[in-house]
Amino acid sequence: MEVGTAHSEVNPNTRIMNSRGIWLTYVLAIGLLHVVLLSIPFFSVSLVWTLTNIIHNMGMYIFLHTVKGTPFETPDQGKARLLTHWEQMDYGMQFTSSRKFLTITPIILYFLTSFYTKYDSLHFVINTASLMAVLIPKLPQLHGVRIFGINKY
Amino acid sequence: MATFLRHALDKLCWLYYQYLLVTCCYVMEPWEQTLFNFIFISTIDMVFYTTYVFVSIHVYLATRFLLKLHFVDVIHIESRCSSCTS
Repeated sequence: MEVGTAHSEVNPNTRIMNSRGIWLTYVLAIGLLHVVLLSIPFFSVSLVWTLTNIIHNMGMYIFLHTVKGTPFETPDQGKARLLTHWEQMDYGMQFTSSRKFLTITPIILYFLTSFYTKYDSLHFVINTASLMAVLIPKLPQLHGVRIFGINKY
Repeated sequence: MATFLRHALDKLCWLYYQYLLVTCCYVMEPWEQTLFNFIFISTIDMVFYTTYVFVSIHVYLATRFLLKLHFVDVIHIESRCSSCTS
């Protein structure tokens, strides 16, 4: 689905992460976030990398695993009303390219963050907790699962 | 000359209008616009300043590393490097 074109896609959320240029834009946006944080004078390099990792993972959790439904009307009578964007991607098909890409990006960011924080223990705890929060909802076993009914409706 | 200036001014006004729309400043109150512009312009200024100070030395070190020149002693770099302290 080419973004901005006329298309017959019932729910564009399912295919938007396959659009041309979106992976590159995503990586560049992470780079921009990092550069902006680096420009703040009193932040150390370790703090900047940890902040980049945390802010990226928080944003990913909110937009992919918390917000449900679609911001637009869909002609399928609201089938995706109770599904998060991650669950809507590729109509629930697991291990597609976009899903793999969005799984690998926080992991690479975690590796870089661990290196640049010199494997400090406090940064390790924070970054690992943040990574787990973003990796666990992506597991196929958790597709459509709402723990303790949180975020069910 | 006058028409060229008028066209240039129209173009600038159109670009400012696009900026207001893209950043949602168009719907904000004047004080909200001021606050947002202050934070936005400050961030951009900080990014440009950091780029000016650090990009040259980073590019130089990366070039040296990639061309395997870091085994070579370079004598007069400190006088030209703006981010090095003596």
